[in-house]
Amino acid sequence: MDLASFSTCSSFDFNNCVELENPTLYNVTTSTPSMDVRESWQTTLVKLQMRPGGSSSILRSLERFELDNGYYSPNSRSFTRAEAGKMTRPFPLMCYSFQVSQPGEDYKQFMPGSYELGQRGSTLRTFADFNLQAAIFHKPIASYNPPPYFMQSNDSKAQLPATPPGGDTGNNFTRNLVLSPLPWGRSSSGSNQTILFSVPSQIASIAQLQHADLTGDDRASSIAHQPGNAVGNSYAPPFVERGLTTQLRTDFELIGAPNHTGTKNDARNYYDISYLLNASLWDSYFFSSISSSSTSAPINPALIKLDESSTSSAGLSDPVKAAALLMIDGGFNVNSTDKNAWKAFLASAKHSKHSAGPVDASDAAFPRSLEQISPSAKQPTGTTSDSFSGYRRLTDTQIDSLADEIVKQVRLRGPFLSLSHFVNRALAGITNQPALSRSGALQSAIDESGANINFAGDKNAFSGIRVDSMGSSVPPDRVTLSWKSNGPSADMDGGDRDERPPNLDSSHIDWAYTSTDNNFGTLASVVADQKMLVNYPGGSQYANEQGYRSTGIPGWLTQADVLQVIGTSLSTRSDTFRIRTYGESLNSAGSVVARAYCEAIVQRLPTYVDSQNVATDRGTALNVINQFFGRRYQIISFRWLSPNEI
Amino acid sequence: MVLLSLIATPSLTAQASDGSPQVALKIDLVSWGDDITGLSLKPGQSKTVTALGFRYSTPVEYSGSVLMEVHRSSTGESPKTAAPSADDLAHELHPLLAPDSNPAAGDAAKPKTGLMLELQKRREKDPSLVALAPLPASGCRRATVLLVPSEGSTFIAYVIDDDPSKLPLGQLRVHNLSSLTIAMRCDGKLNRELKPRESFIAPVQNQQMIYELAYKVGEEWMTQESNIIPVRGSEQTQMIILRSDNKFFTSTDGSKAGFLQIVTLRRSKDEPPSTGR
Repeated sequence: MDLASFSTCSSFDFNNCVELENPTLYNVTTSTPSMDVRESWQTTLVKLQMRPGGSSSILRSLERFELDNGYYSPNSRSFTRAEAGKMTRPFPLMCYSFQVSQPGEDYKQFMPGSYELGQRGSTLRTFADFNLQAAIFHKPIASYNPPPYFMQSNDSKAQLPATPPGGDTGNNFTRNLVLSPLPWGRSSSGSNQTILFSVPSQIASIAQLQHADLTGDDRASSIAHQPGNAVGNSYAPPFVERGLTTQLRTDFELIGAPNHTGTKNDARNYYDISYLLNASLWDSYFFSSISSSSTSAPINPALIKLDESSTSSAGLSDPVKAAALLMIDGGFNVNSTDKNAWKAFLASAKHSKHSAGPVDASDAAFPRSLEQISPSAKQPTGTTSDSFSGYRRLTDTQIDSLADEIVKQVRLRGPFLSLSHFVNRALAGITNQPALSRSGALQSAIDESGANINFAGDKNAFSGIRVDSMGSSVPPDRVTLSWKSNGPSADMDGGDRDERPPNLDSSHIDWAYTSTDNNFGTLASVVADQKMLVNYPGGSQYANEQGYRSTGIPGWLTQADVLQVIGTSLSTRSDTFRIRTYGESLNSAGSVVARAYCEAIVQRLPTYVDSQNVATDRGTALNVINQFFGRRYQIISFRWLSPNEI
Repeated sequence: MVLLSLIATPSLTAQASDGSPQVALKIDLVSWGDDITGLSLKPGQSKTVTALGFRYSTPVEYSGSVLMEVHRSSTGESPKTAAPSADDLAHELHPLLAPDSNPAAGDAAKPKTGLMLELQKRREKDPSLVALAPLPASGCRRATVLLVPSEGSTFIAYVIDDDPSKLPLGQLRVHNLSSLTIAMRCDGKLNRELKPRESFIAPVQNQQMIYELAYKVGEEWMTQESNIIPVRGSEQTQMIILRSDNKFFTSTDGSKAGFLQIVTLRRSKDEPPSTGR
């Protein structure tokens, strides 16, 4: 089939669809002409691949969507003989649709009435835990479908017309496909575009690598079950226990007939890729912002040459030597517990202009990218263009609250021995340190300050998002993957209990306990810390650890967004010190006859104390003096002080 | 059923006397859900019609009171369905289904007013009477009577004036039969807000209409969907937006296709010949 715009190809006409023909299935000589759709055993699977024409390279692969046809005939269509004779064109019996799970969408409307939000991928942190620019979407653990897709199946007579002569696909087939793209955020005035990733034209901060698809595991790169904005962020992923960064788990694949409870068990490592990338990058690399076309000075004004008078560019473009030739102007120690210092530091983003506007904004800007196309809003909506194609600014009040929370986090988690220590979450069991292992210091501070939604849910910056939906028609934003009976809740729940596929580990149940038509697959199986599941035995005290559906939308201020702005100035130590001292002169009686006060400002330089070593030498290459004393300090100012200056 | 209070107006009840105006027009009986067999517009008729679920069947010529009676014989034919095999039964689905909700059930205890009171009175004399339909008073040659299941095997009738002069072939009329205010944007241009029971003729381009639909709950507008529907030149098309728990709108697993339900009625120019009343 040729691809064409939806509105021009009569998408509602079955004659434009691929048709499976098997005339022997339908025999009008039977007493009751009837057709239904069914399957043997457990599963019908579809794999979708998108490739450029004539190419073997895969742009996107969606692996193993389940098309459960059920069994028996509730979806049958019966006709009189007269009607059957007139039914000359195809007609639909089942329709399956898959949509990237969106915050704000009330998927309960598309699930059986007894289901709860959370089943079938209806509540996920789509933008935080998944990679929407991935090439490969696979089905993890015992998931029924590959996340972050929500599945809807429909066989109602209203949606699937079986009216002679046939030919109509029914409304469900074309639902939400005709307008391309569908508004994000499910607001009637929502944005038709969202800007999630961009290729920065200039890179200054490691955090700008959040736009690069650095996802991957032992099998492939560009995978969907890791955060798309991995670098610089720190939310704990659901696939790995809080105390781990790597966990060996099992992906199950139903084998199907003739053994309908048989599975292929595939051991696979799951990673907290944000943690690992941050640990690899933040303390080992920086962007010099030296242009390849002009090597004389960094583009980033926060980086200055050690010898400002030098016009030489020697070494500046050398990835190893550049650091020895540059200094940070206004570096900031993340171990600071001075709230005002943090306020001043964060406020350095005030009055920053963004091409999307607003033009007169004075609030501090922390945009996801410079390519956002909609202006920020004074109060973010979480549902419309400001939050999907726009960006965030923080008011003075919000900066004050954020600085307050950062200081709390520094006291809780510090001292930070490395930048990745500051950027990453703590590795600890969920029962021991739920808050510290939830996200890194800065992200926790952002959330708890109310710039997004805090853990308790009583601070909410967004006008259009409801935390628990009390008294509102807006669906709740909490992620609510759940537990039922003796396992994670099935995505196709029902009264079947027998013939479940076996769990490999009796202490960690992956398959659902109840299902319909022996479909025990469950997206909730991806949650490694099962205590987080709603209704987990013993209470749901950790259920809120699943977070919020809107986490990570462009209007949700992330740690990486902030680090893009301030990341280049951060360090875990100070290199410039103000030293004050005094001396006394005593007479023979021991009385003070003279007293003097002085102040020196000293600065640590890249060069070593002993110039026998060059600044790029490391470890055993250093002589004894430099191994002991390290880098050279230089007095850059000195003055005598009067007593009233003390 | 929310339609109860919307249809039963006192003025129409007053018209249901012996001196009520007479009309003559062609009627289509359509079911709001499952097919309804054994219907006639006069008691004791041997020839009956079946109101199909949201689609047209055989039209009926009617002449008589503007308050039309709909009768149902007790021996209406049941539709034939294929019997499940032993294999079918062994693999029968066991979905989680919510308990059936019948919004009209609670209406039984309420005092009857308007058309429902009139229906109750007439049924005491003639139990075969199942619905009263207030037809357009004059100038209408065609009407669709939508029969909504109500209490005690009766139906609430919603009448759509289908006179060809008001809805020519190739045109589309949108009806809001839900109890909510809805908003539609057609082909990205025309914006219409429809209160309950309001309708409008929607613009059609290239025999199709692209729409965006939202509904209002309290003060909040909620997006329902966007979609495209064919509007063929050989058909009179009615798009009906409603909210119903009827199993006609429900899938095998108990799910529905959204907060509001949408059905399309299509009447072909090549419709079957009508029967007498």
